[in-house]
Amino acid sequence: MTPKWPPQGGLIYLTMATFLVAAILLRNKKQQTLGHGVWFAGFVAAVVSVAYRWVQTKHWYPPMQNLFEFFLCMAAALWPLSLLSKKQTGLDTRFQDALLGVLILFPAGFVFKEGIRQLPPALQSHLFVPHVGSYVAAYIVLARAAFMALPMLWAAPSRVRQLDAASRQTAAMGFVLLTLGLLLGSLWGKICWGHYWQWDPKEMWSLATWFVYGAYFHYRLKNGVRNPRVLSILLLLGLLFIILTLTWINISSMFKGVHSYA
Amino acid sequence: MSRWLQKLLGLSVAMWLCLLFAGGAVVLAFFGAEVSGALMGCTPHQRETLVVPMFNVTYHIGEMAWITTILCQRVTLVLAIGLVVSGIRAIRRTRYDSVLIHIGCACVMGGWLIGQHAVRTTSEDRPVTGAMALIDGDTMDTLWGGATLNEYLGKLPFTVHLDTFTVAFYKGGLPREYRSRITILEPGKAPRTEDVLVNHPARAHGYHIYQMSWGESTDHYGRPVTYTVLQFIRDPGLYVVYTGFAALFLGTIWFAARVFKGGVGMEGECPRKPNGGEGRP
Repeated sequence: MTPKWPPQGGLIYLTMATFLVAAILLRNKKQQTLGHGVWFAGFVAAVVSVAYRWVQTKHWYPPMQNLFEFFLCMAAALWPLSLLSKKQTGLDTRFQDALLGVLILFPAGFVFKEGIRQLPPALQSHLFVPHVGSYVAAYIVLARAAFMALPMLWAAPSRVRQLDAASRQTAAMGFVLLTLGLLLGSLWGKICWGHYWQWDPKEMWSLATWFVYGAYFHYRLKNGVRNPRVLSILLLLGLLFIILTLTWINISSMFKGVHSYA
Repeated sequence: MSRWLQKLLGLSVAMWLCLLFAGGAVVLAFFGAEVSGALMGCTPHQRETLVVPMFNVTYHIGEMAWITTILCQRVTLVLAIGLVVSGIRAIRRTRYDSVLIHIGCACVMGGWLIGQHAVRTTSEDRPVTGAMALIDGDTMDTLWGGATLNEYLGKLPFTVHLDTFTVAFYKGGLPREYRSRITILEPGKAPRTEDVLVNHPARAHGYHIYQMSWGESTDHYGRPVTYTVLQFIRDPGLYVVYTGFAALFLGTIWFAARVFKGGVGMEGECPRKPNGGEGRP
């Protein structure tokens, strides 16, 4: 955990603060107009942050060469994504997206190093950014799907159809990205380690996550929205698996004393 | 209670299978890479030697892993056939996205089984995997295994000559690049020179050649030498797996496009007719 300094660090923290204020305002029914304005201002701040980084790198191509840059771009992509999804599904997810923006920028602001990393030979691959990038994008999109499906646990039957359509479309998009990330990882594994599947815990959790979404789509296709709660629970289970995939390395080290081979 | 039971049993079988696989994957995640790998695909070598320390006790699980491997691979074969069947059934419903996804999964499983068959039936004439340690100027055509590469695994159908091995470092002293420049001499073909780096394997005669490791040692006269370790892997099922990947990915894109177009209706895409007959869209 190391904070960053202005201008890049300042821009990131400004964006985070703006997203947070936007989320608080959007929660309040009377402050919608102001909330929309602040949410847009956060988007502008995120774009400026990416643009500043682009100028700093002195490359003609966009700054997407490491995780720090990729997370900056994801934060800037949230506003258009939110707008598109509103147009497509009619569901307003700006509050959730603003919160998600704060979550995405947190590692960019406090964890990832902004300097150009000296990559070890194993990570020097053209597949690094596509593989990690599609997973990051997939996780963000699937988290949005889970947020959209959450109200199905208690929503009135009249709202279920809209919530279901929105979460289903979002989950389908996330599923494509999740599959792409899994397959690119497998391909990279073959090129780097010699095997496309190593039975590594992280791989197993990723595969388990993929199967949970497989279960969701099979259930949806078979039963429709007769039991909206089951759909909601399956998408939330997917989000739980995503969180466990991301944190498994840390969790498994907690009982390392018992499983010395882990 | 019975209402819930009814609800659960009424759910789709495919969903339960998916959740079952998810649970199985989580169980394997607890075991760790080495044990899970052996349980699913034990090599003849692991059968003799696999020893796992667990709860301060050392378990010789090689023989057990050999049995679970046979079981797991039979089950995989059955599942792959099941996936082909559901893929073919999806043709009748003109759900070609579903066809691609299910056949793609079956291809991945089938390709893995082909590779595992090669691992089980590996021989010294055509070893499936192995490594060799070389210093500059060495020529070799044999593969070795074990922690110190002292176990003979077999002979390659071609010869490898190491021209040079170089290590480059970053300014701070971290390794930047390991590069083995090798010349591959295949019988009946002109010799060709290839660079083998991490993330950049070479190919010869069905083998992928990887930069695996390196180290410093001394030769017979006590002079310091730097050696490189190259790993050789042959997987006859690899391109079946890759075909499966392509089909799987195209299938998910097609499926997502269908979902976006609103093709998946309120009661499922392909509602059964009220009389229980097979529905067609």
